[in-house]
Amino acid sequence: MMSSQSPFFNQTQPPRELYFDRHFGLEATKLWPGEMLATGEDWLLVTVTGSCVVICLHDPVAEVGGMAHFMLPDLDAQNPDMHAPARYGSHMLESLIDALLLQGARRERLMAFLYGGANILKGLYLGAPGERNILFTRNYLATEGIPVHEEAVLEVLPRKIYFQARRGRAKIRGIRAVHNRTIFERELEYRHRLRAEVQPTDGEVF
Amino acid sequence: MPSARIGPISILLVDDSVCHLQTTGFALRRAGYLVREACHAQAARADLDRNGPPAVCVIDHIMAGTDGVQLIQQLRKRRDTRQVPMVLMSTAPALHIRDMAQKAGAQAWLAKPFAPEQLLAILSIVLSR
Repeated sequence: MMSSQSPFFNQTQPPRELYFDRHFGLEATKLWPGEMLATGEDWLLVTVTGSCVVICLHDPVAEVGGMAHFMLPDLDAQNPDMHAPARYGSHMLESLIDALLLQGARRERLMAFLYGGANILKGLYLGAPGERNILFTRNYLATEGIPVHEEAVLEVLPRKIYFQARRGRAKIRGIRAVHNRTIFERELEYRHRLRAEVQPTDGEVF
Repeated sequence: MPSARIGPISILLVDDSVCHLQTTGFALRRAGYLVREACHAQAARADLDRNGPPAVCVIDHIMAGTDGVQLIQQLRKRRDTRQVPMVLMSTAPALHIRDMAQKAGAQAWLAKPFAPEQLLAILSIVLSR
């Protein structure tokens, strides 16, 4: 049995809350914007997305899978680093892939499930962040040679995604308008948090 | 007797991410380095057999099969690469990378994601020694 423990990624340690989903008959955990999880356990990974990207990856041979939920950060108007948004997005995706490799996955076997990028906040965001998020992710997957097995993107409604990590199966459902405000607030909080998180990284010469 | 370096400084860049090879390779070439690329450890060893040692190796940590730490340890045992400086880069938490890089015998480490200027600054220090 593949261990879900990794010495390197906190995200593959037991998640903060594991509950039993009676509909799917699986232990489940929720991911919030900015989070990533990879596992070989038979868990259900659950998240809700509006304009963010949710990408799920699965290796059917190693029977491991994972999910990353993110958006590209805005450029900092005072210190614009044009490449910072792409670096963050690449980091989220590469981190997910690396976590899966540590679980026994092989790059050439990975397949992607792509969701999100909804335009639920028309007029509130400059530009179209949902489209930007999806376009970036598509380009990344194409460059890395990872096929998109299934997708539901650039819609008008938020989506709740249920991804069976070991089995590589996904189910999605639309979110009614009454829940949109919570999704909006959550994504806005994440978007503001990203400005502080996108900082120079660590390094050292011995 | 030290040999005179002719031409640009060569770097062997080893990373299983095509995106990262492209962006990092582009930045290094723009800075004037001669970049040799390999997408896994076997390709890196084949490149070294074919082209000889570079001035420095920049190696990704997490790769399927032989990972970056193992590759550095292997290259430390080769006569032609024993003295070549190695930089380990990784998506792992910084404390883990530092520990692994030291144990493997790397001269430097860098956490991903990094801006090209950060890697260039590290290379400048490593190559000046």
